[in-house]
Amino acid sequence: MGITSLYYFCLLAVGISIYYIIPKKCRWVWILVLSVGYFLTTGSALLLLFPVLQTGAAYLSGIGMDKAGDGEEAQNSKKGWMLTGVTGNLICLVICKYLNFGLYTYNGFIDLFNIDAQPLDIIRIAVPIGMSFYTLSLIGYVLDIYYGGIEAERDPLRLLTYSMYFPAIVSGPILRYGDIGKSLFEGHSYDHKQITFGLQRIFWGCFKVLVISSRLNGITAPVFGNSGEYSSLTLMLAALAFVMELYTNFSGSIDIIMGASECLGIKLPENFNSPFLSKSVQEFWRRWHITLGDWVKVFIFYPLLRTEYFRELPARLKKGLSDKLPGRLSTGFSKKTAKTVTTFTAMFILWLSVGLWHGGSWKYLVGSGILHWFYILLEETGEPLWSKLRAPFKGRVGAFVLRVWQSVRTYLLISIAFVFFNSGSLRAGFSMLADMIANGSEGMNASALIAGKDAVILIFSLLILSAVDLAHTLTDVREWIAARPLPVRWIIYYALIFMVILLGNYGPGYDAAEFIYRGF
Amino acid sequence: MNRRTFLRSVVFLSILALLLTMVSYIVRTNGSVKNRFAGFYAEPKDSIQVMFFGSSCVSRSIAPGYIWGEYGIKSYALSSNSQRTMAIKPLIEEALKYQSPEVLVIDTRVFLYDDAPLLEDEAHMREVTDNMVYSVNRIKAINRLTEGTDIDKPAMYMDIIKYHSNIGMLFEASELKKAFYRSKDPEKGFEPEDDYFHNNAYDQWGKVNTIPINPRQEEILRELIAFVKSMDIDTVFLTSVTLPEEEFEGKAAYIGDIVQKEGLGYVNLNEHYEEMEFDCMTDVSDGVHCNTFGAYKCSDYLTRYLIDNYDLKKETEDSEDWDEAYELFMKHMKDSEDNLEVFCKERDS
Amino acid sequence: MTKEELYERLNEVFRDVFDDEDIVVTATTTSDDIEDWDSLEHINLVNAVEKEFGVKFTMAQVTGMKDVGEMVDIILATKNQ
Repeated sequence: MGITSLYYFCLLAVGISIYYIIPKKCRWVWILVLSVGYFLTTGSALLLLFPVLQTGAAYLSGIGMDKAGDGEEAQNSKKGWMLTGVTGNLICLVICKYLNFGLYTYNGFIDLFNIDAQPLDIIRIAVPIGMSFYTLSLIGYVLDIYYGGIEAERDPLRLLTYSMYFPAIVSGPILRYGDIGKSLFEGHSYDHKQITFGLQRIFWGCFKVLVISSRLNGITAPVFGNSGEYSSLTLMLAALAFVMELYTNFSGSIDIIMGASECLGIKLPENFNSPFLSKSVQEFWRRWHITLGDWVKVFIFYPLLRTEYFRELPARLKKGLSDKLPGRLSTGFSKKTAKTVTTFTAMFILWLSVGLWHGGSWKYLVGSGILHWFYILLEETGEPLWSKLRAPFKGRVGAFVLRVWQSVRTYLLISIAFVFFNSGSLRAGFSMLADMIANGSEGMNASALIAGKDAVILIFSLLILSAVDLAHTLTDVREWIAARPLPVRWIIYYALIFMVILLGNYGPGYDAAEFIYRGF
Repeated sequence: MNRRTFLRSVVFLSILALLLTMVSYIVRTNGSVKNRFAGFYAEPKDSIQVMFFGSSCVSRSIAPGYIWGEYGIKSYALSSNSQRTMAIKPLIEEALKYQSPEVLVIDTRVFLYDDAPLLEDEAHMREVTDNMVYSVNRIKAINRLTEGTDIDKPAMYMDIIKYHSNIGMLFEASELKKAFYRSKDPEKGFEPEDDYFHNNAYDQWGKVNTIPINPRQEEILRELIAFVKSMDIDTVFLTSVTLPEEEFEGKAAYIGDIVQKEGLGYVNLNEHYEEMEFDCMTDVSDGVHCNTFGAYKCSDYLTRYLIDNYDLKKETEDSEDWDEAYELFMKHMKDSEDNLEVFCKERDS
Repeated sequence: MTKEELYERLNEVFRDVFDDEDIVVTATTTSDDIEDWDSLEHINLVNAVEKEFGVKFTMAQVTGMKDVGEMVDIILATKNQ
């Protein structure tokens, strides 16, 4: 059941209404019921085994760690339990999502080098909804207990409510048990402001997905499959449009999810924070898919840097690793360089993970992973050069121009990376980028892709989106609207509702608004 | 939630429902059927004396403007293209909510065909349901028409799902007037056809042996007959001007038999070409529909039949827009006469 | 060890990690106050503090500490055990 479908809204209406009618103590149980029910509408009932078993593994792991107690000996036992919980979950994830990675690589290899061998058949496995998201939420739960941040949950059904929580299971945000646990199980009282704010956020999300994202898809979908047929300018336009399409699609879904959760009184962590104001790629990943960035930072990056190997690496690099290696690797780096090399080695593993999380194929590994590592590496190591280039931009105008340039540059770098994300394969991505340079003015152009009326609506909606996102950096937009006189705010609410109804791409004749992140 | 917020929410949602209804009505696809139905709802209560039902033949061959101008009788058709026989009963029920006609005239053309091929024809079903105002009767009509099909019901109930992209309508004055689906149709539902030569003249139908119609259609016919008898309104079943293809003569006779056995009126215009001075070469537009000349002749014959057999009185009130409809019709006649001359000259040269 | 001594040694660590001789930290200093103190440098800082004071932070403490004051409290608590 797609989250912009009529059925989903009916589910929300009924689900939320009943939540506030039943006694407070039972309310979290009702959330579990809704979550399991929603899950069952998304695929075969057998798939339910996955979240149940994974939650079971995490649950036992947590109880095991708690029972192990404190002290030196307990530490080994704790580690064992932790590894059980983490590996149990990872195995399920690997089975569902990464079995084909080796096959893709093999097939890509023989194709690239024209080797005369039979490509292997891809294994088709049904994936439970939200697996990439809830698995991380569960692994995070296990590790949070291991690291001493939280205590194990005693009630397995409560843990299941956490992992299967129906708004978040669709496309995140990735949850931390310590942050959400209490709120999830408290029976919340009816709060009219919360419900209306939640509904407003849901409609805003629908606006982003149905009005903007689906229209942009009309431009990107034909082009990305077929880059040879379009002019360079059109290819570039499609790449730029895709970033906005992904943003509106993903953040719009998140808005619907957050709004639905807010209607239940449960506040989820934000996943987006005006990402296009970022001055650098590094900053971008602090504003885009925030919960993923936080998760990999806390559960991969930091633990990695705290291992023996990485603690000692700077010192070893200063001394030189081995006489047999070339250049500085034998004579030793400066202290600063040693630190940088260490950090970026760990970061490489981090970005490898991020890429892999997006999917078990090379295009994700590069487009959502390694390429970003490379950008950040350039940003950090090239800092002396960048400072020199920034120097002339002084004063208010200069600073403003610089600011705009930095945002534009970030957007361009991200577009290049996302070309891989949206292409069929790594090769297709390279192909498209090559075509951007080579095609010139040969080939179809953008006017073939979008009708005049739609282009006008698109521009109009993007302006509204920009205005609201910018306004958000200054104030809470919903609060601001709520403070206006009644006729004014009602007109704004009606305008939002009717923009979605009249300008949205839905209903017969349109493809069901596809959630790009739903298959994750 | 305290009383004030509750009331505010109710008001907010009520206004929303109203706006949604108005917008839905406006963005429904425009055209002659929309004009006809919206025109029907705009007629003053209990002012229509004769109601017509059926498919596109009705709107082409019945000219309410002429019937008013010549005979002082107010009539209206709730017809739509390829209208399924299943739609007639709910449309009669709809009409009776707003009008108290003295006679119902039901065109039997579609009874001559099988209903099954029209089952998945969502477009023509919507021509009926998406031209009705929101009501329980509309919901019933949708349920009735979509029975046995795979058509997605929610999109039928809430037609804005289908038409929401017609935002151009929000800028058309003629459509904005239909915000409450009450907007008088100057033609009173009549659809003049301009084309008017059919190459095959066909003869007046004679007496033939009856041929049974499709059993499902017969079921629907009998249900309809039982229904109008229970409402105790005079009803005439009509077979409009039709090419005599596919055993239609026998099937029409079959229908006529059933109807008359039940004590209801039956007129087959195809048996009265001589009386009507009907000429298939000049009075039919495409072999299926009448043109303006044909409409004049059919309307005239039928109205005299109704006046003779049912006690219809002349109406005199609220006549301004009806007078206009008559003038419009006479103008169509004049245009057709001019074009006829031109065509004959070309043909004979 | 007194608090003053602790802060003195802490200043040294900060100056070393961030390569800036002018840094002086107080209880309310956060990552917003020092330009290079981002998530990349945070671990380097934590590792260096651990080495200097011979303490070990848990992962939860590493990610949880909001300002230098919290860091100091943890050091003192561990040292006084």
